[in-house]
Amino acid sequence: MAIQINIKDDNIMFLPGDEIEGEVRWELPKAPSKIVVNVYWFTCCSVSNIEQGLELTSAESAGSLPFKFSLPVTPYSYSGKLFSISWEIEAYSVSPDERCARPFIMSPYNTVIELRSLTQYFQPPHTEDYGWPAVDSFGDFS
Amino acid sequence: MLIQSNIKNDRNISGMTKLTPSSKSTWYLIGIAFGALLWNCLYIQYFKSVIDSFDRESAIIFMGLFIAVNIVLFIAFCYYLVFYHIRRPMLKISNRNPRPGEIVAVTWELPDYHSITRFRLTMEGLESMGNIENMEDTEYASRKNQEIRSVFLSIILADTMEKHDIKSGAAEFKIPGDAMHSFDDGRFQIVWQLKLYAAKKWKDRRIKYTINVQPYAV
Repeated sequence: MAIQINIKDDNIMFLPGDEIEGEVRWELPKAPSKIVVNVYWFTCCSVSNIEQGLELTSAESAGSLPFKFSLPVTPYSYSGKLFSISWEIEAYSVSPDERCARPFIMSPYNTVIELRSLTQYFQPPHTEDYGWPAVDSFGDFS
Repeated sequence: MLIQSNIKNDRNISGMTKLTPSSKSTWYLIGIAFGALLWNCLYIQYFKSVIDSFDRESAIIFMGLFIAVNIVLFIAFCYYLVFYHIRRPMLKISNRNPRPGEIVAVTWELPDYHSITRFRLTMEGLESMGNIENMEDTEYASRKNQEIRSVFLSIILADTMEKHDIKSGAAEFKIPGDAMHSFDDGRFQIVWQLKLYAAKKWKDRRIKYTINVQPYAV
């Protein structure tokens, strides 16, 4: 074991505003200069947006650190056609550098919001009457 | 979950908020005004040298061009002022910040309905991806620095050629209960908007109004 994150009740589904609680355990070859725990969300290809974090300096080579974070209300976990929004909790040590991350879902619907669940509402563009343009082909809107 | 999408007979819905277009029409006006100022400043500088030279023919050409360009700028300014600001459509909404699952009423008034041959109002939800400069290895690499959009929801609220319905009307729609809230991290956006399209004889109106869908109330 290097670094391990244990979330209470092995929960991976959280409501916006919920508390995420657990413990970070580590067992490293030598005492790290610090242990950091962060909760963050990220979109693909973009930097992490750290919402909350805690830091333990002068840690032993093996130990544990309990954590308890209150999640914000947004953004929800999301999986779309162009991008996705993911939530993770990470723990890492500095010298030696080790890292562990656990993804989780934050959504009021108990699942990641996926576009295919919305496409049922999509009305196909009209191309029928009078040779008028389809809904999506009106050109650029100013 | 069904979406209600229909023109309503009751057009006097209380507690409505006026929507502001999320367009750049004001910047057109500022741009024209700035252009006119720049043009006149530059010309005044040249005007001095023409007067100094006492060249009558150059002065006439100079004044003609000066007046012609200023007339064009004045007409453009008046056009944008009237078209986008004075006689622009007015949209009102019952809730500018709705939550998923909520029903939203929208009303419209088009002062220039006489010249509109067709009116369409669409509620749209879309994903937008802006700056993708660090995505060389992705499928979007060939569209670097372009904004990519993907419409995931489109509801036609009104689509009419009747002058009476074009002049004013009301409709309502429901934000899907399992929808994603509005989102913007500078690069990726979830945008909810009303799109107004009014066909006119020589210049169609296309105006977008952004709605801020709030997170679901937990």
